[in-house]
Amino acid sequence: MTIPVRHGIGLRLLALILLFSTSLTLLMTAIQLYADYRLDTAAIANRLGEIERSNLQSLARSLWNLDAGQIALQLEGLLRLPDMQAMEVREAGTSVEHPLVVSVGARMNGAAIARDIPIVYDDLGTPRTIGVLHVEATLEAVYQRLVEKAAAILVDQGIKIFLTSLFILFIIHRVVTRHLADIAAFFGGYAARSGDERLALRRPPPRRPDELDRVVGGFNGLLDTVAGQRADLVAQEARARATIESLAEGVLIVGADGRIRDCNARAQALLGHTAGELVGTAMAQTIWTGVLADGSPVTSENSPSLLALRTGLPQLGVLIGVHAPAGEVRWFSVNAVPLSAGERALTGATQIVVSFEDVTELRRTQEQLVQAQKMEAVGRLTGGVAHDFNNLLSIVSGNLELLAEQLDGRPDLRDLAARALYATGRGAALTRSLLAFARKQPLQARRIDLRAAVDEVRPMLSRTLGEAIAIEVAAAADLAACEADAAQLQAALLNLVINARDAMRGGGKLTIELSNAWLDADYAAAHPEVTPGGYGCLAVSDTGVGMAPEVLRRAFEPFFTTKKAGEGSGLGLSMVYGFAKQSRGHVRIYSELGHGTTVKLYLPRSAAPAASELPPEHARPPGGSELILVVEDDPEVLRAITALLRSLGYAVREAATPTAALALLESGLPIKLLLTDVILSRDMNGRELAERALRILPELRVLYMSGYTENVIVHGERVDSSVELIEKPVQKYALALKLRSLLDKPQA
Amino acid sequence: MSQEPARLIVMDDEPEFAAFVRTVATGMGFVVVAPDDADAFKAEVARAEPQAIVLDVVMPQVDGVELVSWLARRKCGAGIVIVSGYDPAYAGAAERIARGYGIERVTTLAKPVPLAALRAALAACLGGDDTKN
Repeated sequence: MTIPVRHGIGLRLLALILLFSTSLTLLMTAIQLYADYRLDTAAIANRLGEIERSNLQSLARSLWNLDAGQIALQLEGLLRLPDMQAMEVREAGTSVEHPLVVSVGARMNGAAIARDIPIVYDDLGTPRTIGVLHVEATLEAVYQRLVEKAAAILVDQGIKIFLTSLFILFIIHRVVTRHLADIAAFFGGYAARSGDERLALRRPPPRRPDELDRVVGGFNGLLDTVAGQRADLVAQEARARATIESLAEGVLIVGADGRIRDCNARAQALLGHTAGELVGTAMAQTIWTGVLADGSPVTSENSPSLLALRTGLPQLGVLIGVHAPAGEVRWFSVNAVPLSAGERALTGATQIVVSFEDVTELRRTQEQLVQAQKMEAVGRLTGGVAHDFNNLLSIVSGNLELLAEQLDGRPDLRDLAARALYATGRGAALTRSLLAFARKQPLQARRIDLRAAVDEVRPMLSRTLGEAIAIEVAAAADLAACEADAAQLQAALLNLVINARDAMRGGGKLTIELSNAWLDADYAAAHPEVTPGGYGCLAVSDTGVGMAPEVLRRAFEPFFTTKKAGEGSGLGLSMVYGFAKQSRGHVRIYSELGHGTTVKLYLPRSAAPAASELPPEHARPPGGSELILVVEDDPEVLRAITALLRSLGYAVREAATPTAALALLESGLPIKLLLTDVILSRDMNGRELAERALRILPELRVLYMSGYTENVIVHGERVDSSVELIEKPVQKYALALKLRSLLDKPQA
Repeated sequence: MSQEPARLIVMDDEPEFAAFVRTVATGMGFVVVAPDDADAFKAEVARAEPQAIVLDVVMPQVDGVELVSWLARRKCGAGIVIVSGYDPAYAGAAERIARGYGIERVTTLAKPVPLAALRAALAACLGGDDTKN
C-alpha cells in the first residue's frame, strides 16, 4: 500500500513550515519597516527643526528687507536638503495689503509633512512675527526606500525559508516518513505472508534506540503475540478437526442458509457421498433420499436440521432411514443441535451441528429381540392355556371313559360317548401342538434315519396332497443319522406338507430333499440359537403362491395364518419352529411371491460327522482378490454375503436390482464374477441378468445363489442344469471353494 | 389283597380330576381321601398310612416335587402315581427324586390320563414288587 505523495506527512509539514515562516517573515518585516519609517520621519522632522534654528534669522532679515530674490535664493538652498518638496515664505501682518509671497518647489497632494514656521524678526529688541515659512517635506522617498527594503528582505527570507524547508523535508523523509512507508508496506502485505517475518528498518541502527525503534519493537512484539495465537488457533483447529474425524458418528455442519458447510469422513462413508458432493448441498434438497421411522419422506418441514434451524431447539434421536447408493436403507439416529448463544456470538452465525450414527444393526437386533420376546410371551401364554385346557380335557376324557364302561349294554349310547372321546383325543393333539411350540412337550430324541422317517409317512403325505400334486423325495446317498424325536419330526413334516398343499390350490409339485448340511461359525454368530456344526437337512419345497415378505416375517408366530377361518389353526409352522428349537436344530423359510416356498429344517447329527466330509472349520478357506459383483434384493443377505466375500479378500460391488447391476457391468469395472440371486425382480430374474451380463463381459463367471434347493431351481427351469449354484444360507467354506473353482477354471 | 380296604390319597388342584381318580379308585376297592392343601395332605399321609398316592406335581399353591421329597424322606411305603399336565420335566424330576430316595413304586402319567393307564398304575401300587411298573 502506498500513500500518494501529495497526502504525505512531508509535504504537509513543508506547507505548514512555509506558511508559518512566511507569516513570521511578513510580520517581522512589517515591524522593521515600521521602525524605519519612524526613523525616516523623525529625520525629516529633525531637518525641519534645523531649518527653523539655523536659517530663520537670515530669512527674517531678507523678508524684513522684502528682498524676494534673496529669499528665493535661500529657499532654493533649503530645497536641496533631502526630502524637501516645497517652500513658501509669506509675509504676515495685519497692516500689509499685499503680502509678499515667495514660493519654490511644487506643492504636492501626496503624503507629505508640512510645517508652518513663524518668521520672527528682532526689531530692535522687539521680536515681531513678520511672516510664515511653510515647509513641505515629501514622504515619497521614504516610501520608496521602504518598498525597496521590503522587497530585499522578502526575497532574501523567502529563498532561505524555501531551502530550509526543503532540507527539513529531506531530513524528515530520510529519518521518518521513509520508514513509516516501509512499516505501512510491511503491514499491508502481512496477511498474505507467513507469520514468521518481522519488521526491520532500512537504516543502520542508531547508537541509542529512538522512537522508531520503539515502534518497531512494539510492532514485532505484537506480531510475536499474533503468531503465537495464530499457531494456537491452528493447533486448536487441528485438534477440533481430529476430534470430529475420530468420532464414530457422522457429523455435518449446516449453515444458516440450510446448506452443508462441513462434514467428517464418517459422514461421507455413512451417506456414501464425498465431501465435495456433500458440502454445499441444501438440507431441503438432499442428494440422498430419507424416510422417517413411519415411512414418510423427510421434507424441509420435518428435517431435524432444518427444524433445529427454524426453532433453535435441539432435535435429538430422530430416526431416519437413508437409501444408500447401493439401494439398501440404513437407519440413522440423528441429533441436530444449534450452536449455543455464546458459540453463535463467536462464530457470528447460526449453525447446526448434525451428528448421526448407524443404528441399522441395533434396530435389527432390537426387532429380533422384540420378535423373540413376543414368541417367548406367546409361548408362555400358549403353554399356560394348553395346560389348563389339558386339565379340563383330562376330566372330560376320564369321565367319558368311565361312562363308556357303564354303557356296555347300550351300544347306541356307547357310540355317543366314543364320539365325544374321539373329540377329546383331537383336543389333546391340539394341546400337544401348543405345548410343542411352548417347548413343554416331552421329546424322545433318538438317533433316527431321516430317510426312513420320511418313507414311513410318505403314503400319508400322498393322501394329504391329493392327485393334483406330485411328490418327489430326493435323499443324499451318504445321509447321516440325526438326533430327533421321530414322531415329532413326522408331525412337523406333515404340517409342512399341509402348508405346501394349501399353497398349491391349482396343483403343483412338492419336493422333499434330505441332505447333509453344515452351519458354520459365521452363520451361528448371526443366529444365536444355532450351534455351528454338522446337521441333517430336510427341505420341503412347493411350487405354490409363495409368501410376501411381511407374511414371511410372521410365519412362525402361533395362530398367525393366511388361511380362511376354520381351515388352519395357525399352529403348523409354530410347531415346526418349536420342534426345531427343542431339538437344538434350526429352521429357515425361503419364499418369494409367485415362486413357491422352501422350508429347511436342520436337525443335529447324532454322531460327529466324518472328518472327510467336513469343511475344516479352522482351516483357512481359499480366498482371492478378484472383483465380484453381488446382486441380491434382500439387504440383509446382501450385507452378509458382501461381508463374507470381503473376509475372503475379494473386492466387492453390490447391487440391489438388476438395473443397478447392469450399470456396474457397463461401467468398465474389471468384474470377474457375478454372484446373483436367482429370483430378483418381476422384470428380470437371475438367469436373464446373467445372459445380459455375459453379452457385456463374455469372460465373466456366473454363480447363482438361492434359498430354494438346487433341485427345485433346476427343475423349475429357473436356471439351466449346467449352471453353478450355491444354496442359502450361504456357508463361507462352501462359497470359498466354489468361487475359486469357478475363477480358476480355464475359459471354455 | 389285605383284609382292610386299601387307602388312596389323591392330591390335585383340579377337584374334578381328583373326583375322577376317586371314582376309578373306589371302583377298584380303594378308600379315597382328597385333601385340599399340602398340610392336610401331610396330616392325612401320617394318619392313614396309604397304599397309594396320586399327586399332581404342578399345582398353584403347592410344589409337587417338594411333596415327593417329603414323602421320600419319610420312607413312605405307598406306591406313588405322579400326574402332570404341564411340563413332563417336572414329573420326570419328581420321579428321579423319589427313586433317588429309594421309593420303588413310582409311576408317571401325562394328562389326559387314559382310564386303562390309571387303573394299571393303581393296581401296581397294590400289587407290591411283583406288579410294580
